[in-house]
Amino acid sequence: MERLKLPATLPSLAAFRDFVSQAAFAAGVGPQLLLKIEIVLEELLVNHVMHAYGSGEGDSEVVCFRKEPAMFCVQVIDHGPPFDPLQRPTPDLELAPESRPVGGLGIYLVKSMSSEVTYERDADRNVLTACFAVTPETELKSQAD
Amino acid sequence: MKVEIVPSQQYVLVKVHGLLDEACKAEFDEQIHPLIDTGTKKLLVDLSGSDRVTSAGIGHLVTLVSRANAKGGSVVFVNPSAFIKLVFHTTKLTKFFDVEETMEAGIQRLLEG
Repeated sequence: MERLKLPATLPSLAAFRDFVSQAAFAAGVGPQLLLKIEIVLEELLVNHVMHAYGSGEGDSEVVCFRKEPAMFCVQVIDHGPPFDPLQRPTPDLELAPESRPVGGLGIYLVKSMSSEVTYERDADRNVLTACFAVTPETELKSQAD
Repeated sequence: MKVEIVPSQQYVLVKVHGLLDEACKAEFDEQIHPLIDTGTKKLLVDLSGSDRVTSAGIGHLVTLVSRANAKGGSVVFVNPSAFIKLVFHTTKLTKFFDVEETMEAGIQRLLEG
């Protein structure tokens, strides 16, 4: 399990991205799945930085770990007020974009690109966990393959 | 995000640089939307300088396309990164957005449209 804790600010995003990319690479995640992980991370972190602490300050913590069978997971943790973004309704993507209700698209991206995503309120922490199945199609191929 | 606007005789090229997110609203409101409001009918948006987009950034792109369409104009996006292509595809925006892989294909689509 690897973790990185930084101030919940936009300048921290690049360090979080690099941290997760390196952990995913070490876990054998291939480029196509890494792209999905990056999109999910972007949505979770930007939402987190903009809203977790209102106008106040706080830290963001990102934890990467592997879970059996063959899952790579990313947790985004804050100490803000309880908030479960997964409860947002899914937008109707069959509607023309200008007719779609505002909001909900980010969490739709998170849900649709993760194999599973969960929210937990753990003491004073919001813990969002997104896991990605590392299958033979999505794992990093060695040079010999 | 930074915006570079390059007018030509048949269309206006808009090059965007940096993350397309919530914070881009000022650039859209102050630099890109006025092009549509002052009569530009054909807008080519070069995404090669932006490798990422968030859902909030998508909202800005939707507003731009809707605004252009409402005024009889059209917008073509070119040079999307793999990240942006996957977001467009997942959110089913490829049905509504005109997207081309290259500048040449984008210009052709814009001028034929």
